[in-house]
Amino acid sequence: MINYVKEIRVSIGMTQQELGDLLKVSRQTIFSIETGKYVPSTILSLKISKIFNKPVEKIFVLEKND
Amino acid sequence: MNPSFLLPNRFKKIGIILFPIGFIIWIITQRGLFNTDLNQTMKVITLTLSFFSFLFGLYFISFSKEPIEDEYINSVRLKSFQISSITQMVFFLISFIIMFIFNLQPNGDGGLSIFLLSSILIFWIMYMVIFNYTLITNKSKLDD
Repeated sequence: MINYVKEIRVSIGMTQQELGDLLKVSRQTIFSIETGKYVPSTILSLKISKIFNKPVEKIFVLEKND
Repeated sequence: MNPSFLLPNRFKKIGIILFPIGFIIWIITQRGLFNTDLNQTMKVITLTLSFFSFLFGLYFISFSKEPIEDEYINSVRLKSFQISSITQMVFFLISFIIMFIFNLQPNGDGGLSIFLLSSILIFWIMYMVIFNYTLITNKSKLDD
């Protein structure tokens, strides 16, 4: 699965720390999601989508192998 | 969701102090490196206290919450547990294969105790190392 968390976050001028504070997770977690090391839970994905005001499928996209 | 069995984060700092101190004193007393005038009772007390200090330090480091205990930390914990359990199983298998091939046996009750103790500790030490190594390397790669 690929995600556009970093692209969207940067486009709205938000830092990893700010996003982490809004989601009540650490900056490490945001970094791991952005680099694809960690796939967030449904709850966290929905929270991210709410903060970015975008549908989840626009932020997280399935690849052929998924 | 935070697992309720984890200790507050301050226990990790206590564990970081207790773990090496207990280990060093235990090794020194066990090996008799500084041959002091400790009588047998004092030696047993020192060995017991230092070993429990080492053990509690290990458990405090392993079972303390991170400053922000979120789902990513939980997933790192789970992965560390999986790798540690596989390592322990491999250790057991290799040990028994070596014992079988070379017809070796643990040297008496003491040898058996050390073998069983080390196989238990391998799990916790591996868990502690993998979990903290993953978090530290991840923190060092942080960029914005």
